[in-house]
Order: sequence, then C-alpha cells, then structure tokens
Amino acid sequence: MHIEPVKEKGFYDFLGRQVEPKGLIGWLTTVDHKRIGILYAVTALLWFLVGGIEALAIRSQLAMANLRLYSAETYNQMFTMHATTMIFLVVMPLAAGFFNYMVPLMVGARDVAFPRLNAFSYWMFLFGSLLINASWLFNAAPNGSWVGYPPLSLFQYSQGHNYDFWLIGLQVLGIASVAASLNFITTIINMRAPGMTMMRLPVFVWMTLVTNFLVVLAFPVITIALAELMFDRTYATNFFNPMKGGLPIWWQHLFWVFGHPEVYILILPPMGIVSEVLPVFARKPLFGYPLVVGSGMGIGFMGFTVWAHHMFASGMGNIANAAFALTTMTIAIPTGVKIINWVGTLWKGQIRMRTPMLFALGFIYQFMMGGFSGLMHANAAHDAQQHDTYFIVAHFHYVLIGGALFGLWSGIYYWYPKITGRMMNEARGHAAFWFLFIGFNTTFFPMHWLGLNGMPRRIYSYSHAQGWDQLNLLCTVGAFTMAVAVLLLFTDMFWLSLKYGEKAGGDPWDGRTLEWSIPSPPPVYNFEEIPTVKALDDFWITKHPELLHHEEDSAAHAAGAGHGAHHVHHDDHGIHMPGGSWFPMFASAGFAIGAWGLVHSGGMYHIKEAIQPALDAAAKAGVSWDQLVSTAQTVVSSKTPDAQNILNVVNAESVLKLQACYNGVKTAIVGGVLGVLGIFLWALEPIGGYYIHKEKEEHAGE
Amino acid sequence: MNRWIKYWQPMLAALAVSGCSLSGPQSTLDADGPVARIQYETFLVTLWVSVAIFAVVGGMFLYCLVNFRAPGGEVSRDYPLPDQGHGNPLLEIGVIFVSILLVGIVAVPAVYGVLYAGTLPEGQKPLRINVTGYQWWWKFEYPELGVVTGNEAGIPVGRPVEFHVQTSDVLHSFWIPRLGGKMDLTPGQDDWLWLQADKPGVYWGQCTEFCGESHAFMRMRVVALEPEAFDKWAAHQKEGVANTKPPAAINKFQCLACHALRGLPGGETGNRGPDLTHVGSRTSIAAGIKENTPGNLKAWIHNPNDLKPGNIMYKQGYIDMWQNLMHVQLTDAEENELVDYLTSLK
Repeated sequence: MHIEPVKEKGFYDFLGRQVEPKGLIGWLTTVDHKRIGILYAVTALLWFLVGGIEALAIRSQLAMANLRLYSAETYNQMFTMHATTMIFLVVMPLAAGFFNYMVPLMVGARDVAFPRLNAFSYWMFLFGSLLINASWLFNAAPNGSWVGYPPLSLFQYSQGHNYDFWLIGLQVLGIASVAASLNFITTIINMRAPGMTMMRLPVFVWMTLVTNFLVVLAFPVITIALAELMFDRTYATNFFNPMKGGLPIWWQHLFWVFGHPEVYILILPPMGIVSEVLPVFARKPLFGYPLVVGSGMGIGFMGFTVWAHHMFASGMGNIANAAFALTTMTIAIPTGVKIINWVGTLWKGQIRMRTPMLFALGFIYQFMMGGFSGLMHANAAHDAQQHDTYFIVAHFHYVLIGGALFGLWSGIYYWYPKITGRMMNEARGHAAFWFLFIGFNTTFFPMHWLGLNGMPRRIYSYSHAQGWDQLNLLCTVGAFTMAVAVLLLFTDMFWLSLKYGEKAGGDPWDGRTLEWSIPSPPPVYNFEEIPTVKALDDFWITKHPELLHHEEDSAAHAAGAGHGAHHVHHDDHGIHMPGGSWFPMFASAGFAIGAWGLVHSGGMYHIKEAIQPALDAAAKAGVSWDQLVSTAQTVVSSKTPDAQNILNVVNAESVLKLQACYNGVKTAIVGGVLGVLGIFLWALEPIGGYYIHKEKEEHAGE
Repeated sequence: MNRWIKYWQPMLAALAVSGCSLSGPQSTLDADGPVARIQYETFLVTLWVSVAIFAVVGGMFLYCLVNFRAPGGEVSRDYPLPDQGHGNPLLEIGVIFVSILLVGIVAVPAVYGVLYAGTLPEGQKPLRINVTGYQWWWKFEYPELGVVTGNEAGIPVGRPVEFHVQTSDVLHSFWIPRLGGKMDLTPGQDDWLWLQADKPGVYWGQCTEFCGESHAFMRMRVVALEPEAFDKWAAHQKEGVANTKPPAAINKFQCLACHALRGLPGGETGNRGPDLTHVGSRTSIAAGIKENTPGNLKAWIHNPNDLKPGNIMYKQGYIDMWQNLMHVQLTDAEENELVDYLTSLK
C-alpha cells in the first residue's frame, strides 16, 4: 500500500490539509468520520461522569429529611446542570458518536457527505459544552431548571450570568446539532452503496434519519425562543415580560414544541440500536421491519403534535387539555407496535445472552415501564396530580436511562469490538449490567410512589412530617449502586478491555450488516471496494446465500447485479481520501469566543436603564465614559460616593458591570468575525487530500 | 367506585416497600374530596389497563427469554438457523387494532375527568378565594367575606371552593394533593380550579412550579371546617387587632412596611409579606414549613435565611428606623417580645 498526496500550493499547503495525519494534530484536524465519532463518544462519556456526579450530589442531599449538605442555590444549579448535561452533552452526542462512526459503514460509504462540516459540528459541540460548564468556575451555573421558564429567567428575577451561560451555551450546541443533522440526512439519502435501497437500510440508519429530521425541524423553534429570551435579558425587549404585555406562557409553548421532539431525538437512536442488536443475538431477522421503520417515523411525526401535554396545569382549558391528552395517547400505538415487534424478534429465536443483548433486553423491559407511566401522564385528569412531581421524574428516567442509556450501552458493548478491534470482557459486562439494572430500578421505581405521595420535583429539601424519608433513602442507595456499574463500565472500556481484551476480528458477533464485513478496526477508507447490496441484512445473506430467495424476488436480485456493473473497481487512481483541515476548529473557536462575549453582555440594557439618571448627569457635567469608569473603580474600592456627586456606590458598581457588558459585546464581534473568517478560508480550501493505492498482491492476500 | 378505592388502597400500600406509608399528608392516593377522587379513579383505569398489557406483553417477553435460548447459551455459526420469519402482517394489524381499543378505554375516563375538574359543579354556590403567589409564600383573599390571610386558608366542608390563582412575580403552582390536582399561577392569566373537602381536617399543599431559590419552602395548609365553624372562623379573621398592644420592635423595625396588622395605625397596607393579623391562630409559620410554636417562631425571626434562603425579610434585612441602621440583629429581648405578641394574635 502506498500513499500519494495531492500537490497543493502556497498558503493552504503551508497550513497543510494533512496527509494521513498522525498524533495530536491528526486528531485536531481530522475529518475522518470514525475519529470524529470517537471524539464525540469520548467527550460525551466524560460529561456523563460530570452529570453522574451531579446526580449523586442531588441524591445525597435528598437522602434524608432536612439535610443541608450544601446550599439551596447550589442544589438548584445541580439539578439544572444535571439535566442540561445529560440531555445535551451526553445522550445526544453519544448517539451522534454512533451516527458518525456507524452510519457510513452501515450504508457502505467511505465517509459522511460533508467531512469538514462534520468536524465543525464536533468542535462546536465541544466548545458549547465547555462554555456551559465554565459557568461553574464563575459560581454562575444555570440555576432555573432545564426548561428556563420566564419570568424567573428574566433579568428582573435573575441578575447573574447563570441564564446567559445557559441560553448562549444551548444556542452553540444547537448550531452543532443542526449542522450535524444536515450532514447525516445528506449522507443517508445520497451516499448509500449501490443496491442499498431505503427499505434495505438497517433500522439504526433509519432511526438516525428520522432523528436528524426531528433535529432540523425542532431546533429552529428553540433557537428562536432562546434568541427572544436573550434579547429580553440583554436588550431589555419584552417578548416574555408580563409587565410590558409579554407572554410567559408563549415561552412554554415554544420550549415544548422543541422539547417534546427532543425526547424522541434522545430515544429513537437507541431504539435503532436495539433493533440491530436483537436480530444478531436471536439469529433471526427483525420481526416486521417495515412496521418498525414506519412506527419510528410515526413516533417522530406525532412528536410534534403533543407538546402541550407538558402544560396540562398551565390553564389551557378543557378542550386543549382533552385534545392533547388524546394525541398523546395515540403515540402509545406506534410505541406498542415496536415493543411487540421486538418481542416477535425473540420468538422462536436462538437467544445468546451476551452483554449487548442483556442491555437490549433491559431496554425493552424498562422502556415498557416508562411507556406505561407515560400513558398515565397522558390521562390529563390525573396528570394534574402527577405534574411536576417525582412521578414524572420516575417516568422520564425510565425512558432516558432505562431506555436511552441502556440502548446506548448496548451499542457500546455491541460495536466496541468493531471500533477498537478488541472484545469487551463478558464477565465484567454482565456484572456492570446487573449493577446498573438493580441500581436503576432501586433508584427510580420508588420515585413513582414518592410522586403519588405528593413529593414535588426540584425541591432542595423536605420535612420529616411529609413522610418521604425511607423511599428517598432507598433511591439514594440505588443511585450509588448505579455508580458502581458506571465505574465498572469505564474501567473496562478505557483500560482493561482496551489493553487486554481478546482480538475481535472483523465479525465477532456473527453480524448481519455491512460494518461487520470489514476488518476491526476498519481501515481509514472503510471499504476497499464499495459493496453492492442485494438484500436487507446484506452481510447475513452473503453468509447464508440460501436465504436470498426467501428475501428478494429474482427481479430485485437482477437489479442488484445490474448496479454491480457500475461500482468502482481498483484502478490507477486508487482511493481518494480527504486531507485534514484546521478550519472547522478555527471557525468554531471563533464562534465560541463570540458566544463567550455574548454571555458577558447579558443584562446590558437593563443595567443601563437603571443608571440612566447618573449617566445623564455625567454627560451634563462633561464626564467621558472612560472617566466615569475610572471614577466608578475608585468609588467601589473606597466605598464612598465621588466628589462631583454623580456616582453613589450602587451606581458605581453598575457602571463597572455595564463596562463588562460593553467588553462582552466587543468580544462577541471579534469572535464572530473570526468565525466567519474561518468559514471563508475553509470555503476556499482546495480539495487536496491523498490517494491510497493498494498493491495487487496485498489485495490478493486478503 | 368508592368501594373499589377502599379495596385497592391496602393493595397499593402493600406493594410499596414495607414500613413506608403512602398516605402522607400530601398523598394523592388518599382522596379527601370529589375532584381528587375522580382524578384518582381515572388513574386507576389507566393503571389497570397498563397492568393488563404488562401481563400479556411482559409475559410473552419472559416466555421468549426462558424458552428460546440458544442451545448451550451460545451456538456455532454453522448451527442450523431458527425459522427466519420476517413478521406476520395479520398479527401486526391485530396489535394495532387492540392498541386503538385500549387507548379508547383509557381516553374516555380521562376526558371525563378533565371536564369534571374543569367545570364548576351546579347547585351550591362555590366560595371564592383569590390566591396570590409570592416568592415564597401565599396570600388568600375572600372577596365575598372581606377576609385576608397568609399561607393558611380556612374552607367550609362539603361546599365547592373556587380558587382563582394569580402571581405577583414568577410562576408558581397551587396544589393541595388530597383535594385535587394543581393549577399554575401564570402572569396575565385568570386561571381557576375548584376543590372541595369531604371532611374537616388540615390539608397540606405545596408550590409545584420551580420558583427560585426557596421553591422547596413554599408550602401552605388548607384547614377544612364544618360550615358553622367556618363562619365563626371567617368572622373572627375579619376583626382587626386594634385593642392589642404591639411591642416597640414592631415600629422600630418597620414590620408594617411589609406585613399587615389590621386595626393598628399604619397596619392596613403592608402586602409584601403575609398578613399577620391572626398569625397566632395558624397551625404553621413561614409558609407551612414549621409548626407554629414559640420556639420555631423565634428561630424564624432570629435568622429567616436559615429556614428559607434568599427571602425578602432576610435579603432586605431588619432596618432600625430609629438609628437609621441597615441589617441589624434583633436583641434576645426584642425577639421574645415579638414572639409573645405574635403568638397572642389568635
């Protein structure tokens, strides 16, 4: 095998679209979907530790009545950041890691459609996650729950930068998500191997497609809402300010028009993973493939029609409450279809209880339980009792941990051999599963009872007389049991199995889909020769050619063979690979700096309004802004009003805050310019890259 | 339906971890009024439909896990494959139809429950109470009776009460679990809910919409009284306290800037904190979080931030109007005088 770089000139050659980049620079400039997938997953897992520690802090505080382990303010930051972290920094990016790594392999492509855009998405995600967590260092972590309802989130009630970090951080993460989604939609629609028709796509790829359509449709809504709230906070607009005719309830509608599809964005990819894992470990095709795909689309579509079930207590009136109760209940139908089909897949199979399968089975049980409590919420009459209690907390942890995380962990155990080339240890995997399964159910099942017994969400403490002590203690014990499982998983993943695991080979599980037809870990170019797909579960059919006649009629077979005539064989050009690029990271670093500036401009016009008389007096006395700022510094440090009697201590503090806001605006402009410059240079970057030539004998040897 | 509840109640309780009571003061499972009862009954319908589905689907699932293991746990790749069936259209259609039927069974009582709780009952004229939420306490006004109280509301047994909820600042949610579901307090909206108590008693409630630092400590109590006792209570609450002798601290620390002590000079207007006119007659202090004992009251006055971090009485601090001092600490004697006086305001 030898490598032939594409010749480039001048500036771009100096920056170097890296040829087969190695080391740290290789990772920083990578556009390889597999490396980006690993970056996504590892980053998400690190945030998972952070979010998990926040969860343990929450459970410790609630372990007993009247505990005061830390302050109420810190608690409010804990649960806000726990939710924000787990949703936006763990489950979404972990799924994105699998999209990145697996989708091109499963559709038979060399990479995603827009490799540099893909890198840009990752860096935006990383910087966004760092921005939102940097708030901890300023003691300004978001503190108003992940829904950020105004008026509490308005400047009038919340004057620190807590909400600014949250708003801008989510905005940055939103850019990352939308860019990634456009990329995956294009990849799945346009980059499929010959013969890979839509109805031959693996279910995981289908769910990726549906999920990314949901992202593209739902994120614009939250983007507008976040922008409006940011304008309210920074520029004193009144979108949500009730004192000036703004509507706090409007935020709730916007938030949940995004927020409900968001929960399907979280759950559909794990459903896809489970739909891949079950057939492999039952040695049977997925039961009712078209219905599983169709119900996935149905869930995605219905996800946009049910948002107001999060608002049954907001005074929408009987008709709206009844209508949204009914639309919500209809979602139970496609969800039920999926569960029946998974059970149907197991029916008369040959079930192999390997670790990925255990997690997939755990998923089915727990998702079913979460579905039942979901049906109970859909009953709007009783939801008036359940709303904002621990019954809700139990429900969404059943679908998000019991469902989404179990599905993702199943995916980790399933694809780990493909990604690293080594098997994960079965005994440790089983131990991790049982710790997690028992810990999870111990933590969250009692929360149903707590909720029905009247315990509201988001409370820092409770009194003994409310009668919630014992169950809370049980929940806390369960949470620490789960922590043991997480430790087991992490030591196994990042150390023991990575170092000592047995070699996996290309197809350790007797797999069905294309990714198992290539070596583990896959070579940089994925497929030496782009495969021609003849059927659903093509690799399985290749291993069991006698099944083909059952699968496809001869016409389809002929069509597949016809495609084969077009596919690219080895020729003198070799395989063209894109070179690395600095610009995705450069551009997103620029935008991140801009976002940092925007955070620190939060509250600008409110502060200015409050000290307008002092500013007018200064203008009248001919005091310039710079003089005013230096006077303010003296006043604040000496704690005495200035001689000219323009600034008292309180106003002087405000002047300094205003100056910080102005600096924020300047930073935002600089960052924005850098970001746009990055994209401009990126657009002008020549194709570059390199060609891989595989020698004939090497090819023959495989 | 009533008989059902009595029957299933112990069942539900038995399902819980032993030793844990599920009939706490805020239990939704102990319905003490018609609204809570109807809501609970619709819940039971959903619960039993879920249990039935769980028994069937979960049973099939378990059956598969027990019966369809690969021989010896793991099979070689050339081991004969099981039947490679791709699905069964008839079964799928059947599943969809059964699901629709089950959803129908759940939907009808749910819609009935929504309409029941969302429509004022005919017959008896409801008592109206205006509820206003503040960070972090509740004001109750009885416009027809001219009564104002804070954090504890008296209601008559057996008569529907129409609560109109509004907020003075951020979102809150008004919830008395044993009497029925909750309603958010949203700025600019005139929302209401009706509740009714079957029997006399003290019903606990709590704010359930996150409202800032001390959201956890925004609680309340509703005291249900027999109709005659309620009339007596209301008449008494209406009276001022002109004939009491407030200690000097009340004026010195400007208590009446925020609190009302109706009947005292300057005691009519304070409305940033709870009305204290009959504070001694209440069962709890500091918005339902502590029993109303002299010791608790003293601790609350001594350092309000301990019980309720970030509240105005603490943030603004006690202002000594005589010496023009901010954030003063009350002396022990002053605290005792205040506690004695407030406790006497039955």
